Amino acid sequence: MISRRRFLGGVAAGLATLASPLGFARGRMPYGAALTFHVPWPVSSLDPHRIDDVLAAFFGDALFDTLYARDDAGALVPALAASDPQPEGAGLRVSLRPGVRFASGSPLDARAATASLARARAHDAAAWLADVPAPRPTADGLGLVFAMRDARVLVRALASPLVAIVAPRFAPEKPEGTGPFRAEAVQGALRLVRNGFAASGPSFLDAIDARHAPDLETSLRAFESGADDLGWLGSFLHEPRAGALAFDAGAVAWAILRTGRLAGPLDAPGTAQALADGVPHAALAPLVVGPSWAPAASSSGPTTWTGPPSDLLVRDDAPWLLEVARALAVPLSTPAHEITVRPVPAAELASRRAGRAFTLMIDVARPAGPDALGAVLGIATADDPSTALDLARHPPRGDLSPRRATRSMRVGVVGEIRLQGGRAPDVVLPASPWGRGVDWGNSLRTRR
Amino acid sequence: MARSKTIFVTAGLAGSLVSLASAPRAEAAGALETVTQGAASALGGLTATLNSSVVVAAPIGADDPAPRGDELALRVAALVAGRLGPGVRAHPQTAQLATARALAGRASALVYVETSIAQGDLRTTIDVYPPMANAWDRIRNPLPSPTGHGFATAKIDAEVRAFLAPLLLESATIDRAHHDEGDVLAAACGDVDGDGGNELVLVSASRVAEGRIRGGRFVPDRTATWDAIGPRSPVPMREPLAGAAIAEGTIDVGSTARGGVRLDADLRLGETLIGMPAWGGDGIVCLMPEPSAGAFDGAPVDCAVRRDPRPAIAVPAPRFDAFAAASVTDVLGHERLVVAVREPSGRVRLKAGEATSAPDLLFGAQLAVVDLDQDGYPELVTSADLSFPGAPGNRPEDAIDVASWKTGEAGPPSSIASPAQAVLQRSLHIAAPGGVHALAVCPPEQHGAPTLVAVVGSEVWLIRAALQR
Repeated sequence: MISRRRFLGGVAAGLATLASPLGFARGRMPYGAALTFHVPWPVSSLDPHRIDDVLAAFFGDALFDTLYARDDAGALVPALAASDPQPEGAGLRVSLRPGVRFASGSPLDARAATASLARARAHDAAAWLADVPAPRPTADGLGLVFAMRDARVLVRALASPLVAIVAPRFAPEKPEGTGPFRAEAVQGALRLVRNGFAASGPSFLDAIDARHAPDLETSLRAFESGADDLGWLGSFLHEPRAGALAFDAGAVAWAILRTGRLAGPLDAPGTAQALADGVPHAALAPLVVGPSWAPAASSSGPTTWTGPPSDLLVRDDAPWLLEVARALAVPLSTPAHEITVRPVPAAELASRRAGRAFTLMIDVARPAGPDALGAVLGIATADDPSTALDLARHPPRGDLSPRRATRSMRVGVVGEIRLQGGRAPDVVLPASPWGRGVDWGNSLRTRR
Repeated sequence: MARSKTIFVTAGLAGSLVSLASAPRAEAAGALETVTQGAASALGGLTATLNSSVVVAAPIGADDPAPRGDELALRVAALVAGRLGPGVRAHPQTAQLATARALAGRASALVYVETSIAQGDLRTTIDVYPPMANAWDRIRNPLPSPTGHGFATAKIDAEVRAFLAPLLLESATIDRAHHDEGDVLAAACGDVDGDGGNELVLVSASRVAEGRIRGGRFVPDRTATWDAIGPRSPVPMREPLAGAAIAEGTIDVGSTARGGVRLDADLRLGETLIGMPAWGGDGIVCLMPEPSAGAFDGAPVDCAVRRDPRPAIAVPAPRFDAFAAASVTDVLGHERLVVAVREPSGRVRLKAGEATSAPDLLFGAQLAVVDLDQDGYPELVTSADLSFPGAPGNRPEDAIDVASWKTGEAGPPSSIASPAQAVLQRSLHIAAPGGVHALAVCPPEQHGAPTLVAVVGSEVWLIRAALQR
């Protein structure tokens, strides 16, 4: 486990500035070079349609596009779609850009887009797509017709990264889309290579190697020594790297605490958030979890664990999440009410989650969409997809902050999962147009 | 009576950019050769009857000072005489028509050559008059109708400029005009509609606008949105490059986000082009984008869509992100194609004929080749190299640099420098903190000087060498 003092040293620089904007006046953006870094997360699969896929939150935009996307000015514009939705009969037609291909070279047609949207809905996008009926592909294979009238609602829904268009027969272990990069299978790493068929244009960088880090120190050590180009959540472990700069691409997801049916009467709505709020921000601050939260008094429910000694499940291949669990367990435990962190394989975690066969669990939730409601729907989907669907059909009014919205859920927001740290001086990491994460396609290195 | 075919084209390819120097013509020759050949050939079969005629030049007409104007008129007359046959004699002095008729005496015909300089054009008119052997004939018919007539025009080049007041690049003037086209990617300038005046075309990511500078603003006369003229490319470049080139009656435009298309003078859609249009020095060529490299690959090709596109001209580097070409005429009328490309590394490679050169400098993404001062040496116009890191607010400012490409060795001043020996001599440095978005060149117009068009931020700058008075 990384010591708090050592880790904070590196974090300080990470908080200092923000990601570099693109900007060489009217010079050319340099093509070429690669980025190498370590991430304390599993890197063996990536699924943009899963609400708990943190790798998709980090790198989804590098591999996938959506039918509509946000431009630099914040407007929603056609991306894989050829134009704004056009009335067709009683519905709306979304035409696809002709000639677009997935990274493997297979064409993007209406059938593939329809299948991708169906897959997204079948996974975790049902609530986000609550107002959008399943489309039917047009006979010419170049359009999708949605039985709805409101083009604005349709465009907003189709712009979410949670409904990114994936290739037919999609496999998270071989993620394939139309984004600026394509994924290559490499043991222990997510290797992103420039996609020559990219619908938004091939990336500036030749490649990105995101290697699995077994702990939080590995990335900082490698960055400090110059072996890595990015330091994950910090800039150094012992000594600052000469010339290193900071980047902060903001929060891309949340670490959440779940209560399960083994918690007995404590498996009640609001308990998880009350417990999470009971953890002092200082306990988690070294893990760069975002701004401080309101004191526990504002929560309803116990602020420490009041049940019998219990396990806090966490997947064993996510070092950062493991550290969060450990940092959480200490302040939540009291004598006779101890919480023990118990790492389990991802498959077991998924199985237990599906059956709610656990007492406490640390997990991940992404936003379902870019706005405040999208954030709430993402967490709600992580809690219970059917509840999320109701929430989507009857959106709450007033305060939509995640920590407040979860008072009626069996999950609580523990902290933000942020994309920030240190970068080599020649690395440029523009912010995503969504304001969450890095625009990897436009990232580059200035050194010739 | 015929007007020789002339095509005036300029083009700009954003970022990279293509532009043209002095007036390009259908014929690969200097202005003098073009007008004399054009006007003489317009006489048709009459030429065969003129083998013992006399050619007399009229005093030159010019809209600007022409210190050696009559020498120019006599030079044109001599070239016309040469075209008409070995027995044709050119009179060594200029003369008004009445005098010329007397001078012609018993020659088989009087070939009266009028030469003028107007709005950047060298214009030559040939009138053939029947013989008037004695004074009585001339009194009886003082204004006989010509039996033959020929006319030709060409844009002024260095050979012509040698007879006119020189242009001073160091004293260049800049006229600034505001534009509302947003982030301009490419510009082109030329006479689209054949009315003798240049139009300006600005290409942005959203539309193509054709118009003129009026009252300190770029005022579009016609616009066409990209959505109306070009579907989005399946694989665009992440950083779009665009191009534009004007020919008589057509405007070729393209963008790596949309592809290339040919538009008519009213910006109506014509055929699709195989690549990104650019001026190739002697006609429009197409550059082939390679989106994975953010650059163009290989030699420019003919723009017609075909399975195996034909290379049109050779380039000095296989991959480049900026391109400029111009046919530059020296003071002796020798014309040479000058090609400049910028490699993605920022290095510029030059080619003239078979020779190539690579100055040991880094340049910005905007490029043009033009003989701005019409001294027979091409100018390389570039933006500043800004592609290196710097803290916000501490980055270098963009600029327009104009460098003359001259030989460092003693030699005939009339010859274009061999690139192998060439040195770039910076003639002009203009700070452009708004960022140089595009460069283009207008054919000679006002004072006979070509105009460098620079789109700088939200302004269009018209940069011209000053006329020495």
